[in-house]
Amino acid sequence: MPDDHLFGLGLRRPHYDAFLSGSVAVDFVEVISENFMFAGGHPQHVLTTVRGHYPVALHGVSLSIGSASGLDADYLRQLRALVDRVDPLLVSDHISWSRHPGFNSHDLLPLPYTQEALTIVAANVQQAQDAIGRQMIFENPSSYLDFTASEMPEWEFVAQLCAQTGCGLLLDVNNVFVSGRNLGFDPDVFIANFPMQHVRQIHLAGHTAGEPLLIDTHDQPVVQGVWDLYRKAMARLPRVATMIERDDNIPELPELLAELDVARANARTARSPQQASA
Amino acid sequence: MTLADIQRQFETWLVTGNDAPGGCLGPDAAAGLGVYLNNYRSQLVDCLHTAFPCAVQWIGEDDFLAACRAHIMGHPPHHWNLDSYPASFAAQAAALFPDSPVSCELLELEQALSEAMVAADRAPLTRESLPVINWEAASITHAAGGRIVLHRTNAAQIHAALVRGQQPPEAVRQAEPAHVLIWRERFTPCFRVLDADEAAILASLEQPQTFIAICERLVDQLGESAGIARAGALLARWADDQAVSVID
Repeated sequence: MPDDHLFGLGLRRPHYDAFLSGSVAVDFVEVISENFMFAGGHPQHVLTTVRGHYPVALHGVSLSIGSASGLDADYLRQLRALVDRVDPLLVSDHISWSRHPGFNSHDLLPLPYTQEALTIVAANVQQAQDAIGRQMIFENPSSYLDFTASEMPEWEFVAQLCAQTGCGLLLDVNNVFVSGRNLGFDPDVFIANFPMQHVRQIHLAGHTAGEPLLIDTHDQPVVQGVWDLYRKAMARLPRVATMIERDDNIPELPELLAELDVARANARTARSPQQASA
Repeated sequence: MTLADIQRQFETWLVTGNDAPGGCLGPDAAAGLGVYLNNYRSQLVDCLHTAFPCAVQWIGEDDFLAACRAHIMGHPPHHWNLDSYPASFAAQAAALFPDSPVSCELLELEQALSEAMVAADRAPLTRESLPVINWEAASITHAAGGRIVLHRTNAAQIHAALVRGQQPPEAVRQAEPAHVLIWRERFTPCFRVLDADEAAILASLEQPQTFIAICERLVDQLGESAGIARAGALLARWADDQAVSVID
C-alpha cells in the first residue's frame, strides 16, 4: 500500500469513546466544524482530547461560499478560532450556498456554473482564506437539478476557482455518482476531467435510491460504482486523505474500519494494478 | 438572471413552498426542487424534535409536529448555526401553545439546559476548594451556564419525571412562582427549584458577590446566628452541587 495516502473516519457520537481513548487505527479524524463552535462544555473536551491523539480535518457546512451577498463575519471569526485551536490537517466546506440576507436554509443549495457565480465564489474564497490564514478546500456537492444558465461544466468551474484563489478541492466520489445519475452526465467523464492536481481529500459515502433521483443520505455502505470511480480517481492522485462519511444509520466502528480497509485496498489497486492482479 | 435573483427565488420557494424558481432551471427540475424543499423542512423539524425531548412527550408527537410546521413557515432560520434555531421556537412558545403554560415552561427549561451544555467553562466551587479560597477577596458568581428562570407551573417536576421515564404529575399552576436554577456540572446540565432566599441571592450573582456580602445579607434577614448558619448551609450545598463559581 502506498504509505503516503491517509485514511480516516468522521467523528460521530456513537464512536466518541473509542476516539477519545485514541484506540482507533486511523491516520486522521474529520469533524464537522460547526459541532465544535461552542464556548465550552463537552464538545470542547472531545475535540481537545481527540486532537491529542489524531490529526483533525475540519469539515464545514455553513460557510455558504456561494452566497451572492458575501460571507458571514461572525462565522468566519468562529472558524478562525477553531482553526487556531486545532491546527487542522485540512479545512473544507462545500461549493454551494445556504444563506441569503435574513435567511439560512441549512442545506447545501446548488450554484449555476456561470462567470458571474465564479467571480462571486472566488471573491468569497479569497475572503475566507484570508480570514482563517490558510488554504481551504472545497467539495463538489451532490446535485438534484441543474441550471440552464450554466456556462461551463462543474469541473471547469472548480478548476478556474482553484487557479484564481489557490484553494484546493475535496472530491466527494459519491457525489459524482449521485449527481451523474441525477443530472444525466457520465461520472467517468467527470473524473477524467476533474482537476486532480488540486485534490487534497476524498469523501466516500453511501446513498439512497429515491424515485426518480438518488439521494445523498450518507446512511449506507459505499456502493460498487463509487469504488470503481474511486480507483480511477486514485490512479491520478498524489498524496491524498480519504475518509468515509457516515452520518445516519451509523454502524459499529469495526464495520466502518472494515469499509476503510476496502478503501485502502482500492487505493493500492489503483496505484499498482499489476501487483494487485498477481 | 443574476445569482442574487436565483438565491432570492430559492429562499421564497423553501420558505413558502410556492413560486418555484423559474427561468433558470431545466424542464425536469420539479423532482430536484422537491428534494431541496424536503431537506429544508425535515432538517428543521428534526432539529426542533431533538432539542425538546420532554416537551415532545408532554405535548404529543402530532401537536408538536404541527407547531413545528407553523413555526418553520412563520419564522425561517436566519443564523448560520442550526443549533440556534430551537431558541426561536422556545421564544414563540406562548403563541404556539397559548393554552398550555406547562408546555411553554418545558420548552424554556429545555432550551436553557441546551445552552448550559455548551456555555463557556468556569471552574466550579467544590468541597475540595472550600478551604483554600481566600474568602476575603474571592467573589461568587454563576457556574457555567448558570441562570434562573421563573416557573408558574410544576413544569420542573414534570420534566424530572419524564427524564426518569416516570408518569408525570398533573399540570398545576402554582400559587407562588418558583425560581429554577439551571447550570452545568462538569459536562452535564442540571436544574433544581430554589428556596426564596437562595433564589434572591443567586439572582444577584450576575454581579459577582463576596461571601461576606452574602453573609451580611442573610444576617440582616435572619439575625446573626441564623443568618451565618444559613450562609454556611448554602455554601456547602453550592459546593456539593458545583452550582456556583468563584473568582479570585
